[in-house]
Amino acid sequence: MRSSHLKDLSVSLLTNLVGASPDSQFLQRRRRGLHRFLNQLVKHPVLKQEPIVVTFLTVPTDLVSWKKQARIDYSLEFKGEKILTDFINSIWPAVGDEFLRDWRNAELSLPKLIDVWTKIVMLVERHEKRQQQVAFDNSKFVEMITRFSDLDETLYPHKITDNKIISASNSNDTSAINESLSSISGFFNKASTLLIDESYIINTDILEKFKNFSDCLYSLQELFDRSKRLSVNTIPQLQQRIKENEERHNSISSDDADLKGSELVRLRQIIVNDKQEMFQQLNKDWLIKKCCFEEFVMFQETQFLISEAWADWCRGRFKFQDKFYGLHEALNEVITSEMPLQR
Amino acid sequence: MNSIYGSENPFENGWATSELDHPAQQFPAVDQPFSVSTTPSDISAKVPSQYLAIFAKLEPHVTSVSGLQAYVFSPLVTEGFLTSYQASKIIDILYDHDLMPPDVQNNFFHALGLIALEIGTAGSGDYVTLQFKLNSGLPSLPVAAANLLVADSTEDTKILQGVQTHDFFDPLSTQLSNSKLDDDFSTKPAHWDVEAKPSTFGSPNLESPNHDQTALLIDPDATVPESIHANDIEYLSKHIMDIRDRFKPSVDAQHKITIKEVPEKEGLLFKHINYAISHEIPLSVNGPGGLKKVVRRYSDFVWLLEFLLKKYPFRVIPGLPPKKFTGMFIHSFFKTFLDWRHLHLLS
Repeated sequence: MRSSHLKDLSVSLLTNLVGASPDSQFLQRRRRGLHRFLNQLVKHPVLKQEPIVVTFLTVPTDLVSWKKQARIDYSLEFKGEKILTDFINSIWPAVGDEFLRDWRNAELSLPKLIDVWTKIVMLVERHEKRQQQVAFDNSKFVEMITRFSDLDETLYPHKITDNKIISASNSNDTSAINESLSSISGFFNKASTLLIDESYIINTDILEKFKNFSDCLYSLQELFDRSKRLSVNTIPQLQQRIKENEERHNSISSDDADLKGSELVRLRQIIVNDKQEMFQQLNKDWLIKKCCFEEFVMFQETQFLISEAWADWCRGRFKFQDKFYGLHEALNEVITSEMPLQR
Repeated sequence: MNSIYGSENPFENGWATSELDHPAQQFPAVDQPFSVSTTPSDISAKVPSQYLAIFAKLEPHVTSVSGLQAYVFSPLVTEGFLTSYQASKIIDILYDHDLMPPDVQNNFFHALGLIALEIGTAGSGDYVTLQFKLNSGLPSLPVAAANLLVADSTEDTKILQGVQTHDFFDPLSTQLSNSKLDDDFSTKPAHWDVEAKPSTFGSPNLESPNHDQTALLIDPDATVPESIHANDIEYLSKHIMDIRDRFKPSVDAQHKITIKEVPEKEGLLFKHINYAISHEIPLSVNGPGGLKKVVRRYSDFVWLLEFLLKKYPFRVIPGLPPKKFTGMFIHSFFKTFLDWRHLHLLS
């Protein structure tokens, strides 16, 4: 028996790894992940307007052949953009400090938040699994109760009453008991259906909402990582170098040496280039800050995803418990009134 | 044009990679005149009388290079005396040799001299030739050109002002072609002031919040304008709310996308899974509405994400499900197996 299980295992393991069947857990996870990805993407006010995203979602052509004929611009979104003075002069002086502190705090505690929320998701998952197990047990109840009813005739004869004294004495009571047992089976059947429906809703809808919030946290985490990695600049070094070169330039131009002409031109070119470079870097630095600021402010809206997930959870649980209560109530009425406790 | 510090990082300075047409002219960044000694103190004796007439006429209008552009170069370009390339070369020379501002008589005469040389023989309008000519006397402008410049027509100048916005060689706007000019920078007559005092920008880094305000205020009495809304809580809250209003992340909002697997056999060994995506989101402004259906592969999603990461590295970008759920997958598989065995042992 054990070896046949192992064989089953290896067979299904193989099919799962080689050509996954469409309903395998792996593909389900992937499909749902892609689903969440797309729905999050089209919520973002900037990304949803990106022509490539629009193309991805609307152009019926095969994307591989579309890419071949399209000219795709991979350059940074701020290319050619200049920071607005309103941001530098009005917004930043007022909220810059607060934002940078918030950003830093969020960055520091986000891993913890992700960890905790992941555990909440796992608990919801576990709850859902447990419902499935209860549902499975319920059908086992049905099976066992039916078998028991089929067998109790042998212990408490009651079916054939003609000329059978003992059977006749049992007839009413044992039949009533058996009928009640079948009501109990019926209850377990209905409860099982209810549990499976409930588990399905949790699995496909509520759990996805909990995971959707996880995804948001992970996306923010990745933004933190990227901005740390990519917002480097050489502004302090440039500033230093410009200062040094300007001093040299001034000291040379006050000399009377003959060869100063070409040297001056060279120095001036270096200073001009450095200033230009510094201006570009400063501008870019501001644009990055503005962008991160906007993203952080927008991210504040994701708190409502917490409400959404839990509100759905509560609504679903309440509906389920309400129906479940109805089943119990009906069963209780039948059993307490109809199951004989004595002759 | 990219960084002389040659960063490996592809995002570094990506916004400014476009080649500039006139790099030399961009940032005459230094405050001190470079060529004081080579500029003769007074050249008015060496210029044709028409120069004096033109200067008398245009002096009030040419306080900045944009005035020079509007009242001198634009008419000449429009009338075909100069090409806009020649005009831009001359402006380069004026910047390079610190012949600014143009309403100083000497500077203006230099400009006219260069123009006259250029009109006479294209390519000869360079600074060295000009200095050489200064000894003998600067060449005259063609009479038609000179008349054009002194012509009294406010109508014309209005039109020319219009032209100016198109081929005006502002050091900032030529470089940052998409920038909005209706802000403080462009209203300053001398644009290079901004670059000459870079400390007013501050260079706060996101990682060093503590340096931030100090860096911004290194030069507090310089060109930093009063922060108009710094204490205007209403304005600021509205700004924050406007940003927040743009983003409604709720899952159950309208326009949900649905996705279905479409298994498809391609090739002998590998089975590709296609995803049929359908939605009714009105994405493009003038595109057709209604139900849209596309078929994409997992690899297409990967490509899309990579593109977004390159173009929008400073935005929150949703993540994709991993290519393989290795750990989790095996774990959950074993768990299923164990559950199943457990149940079968019960029966």
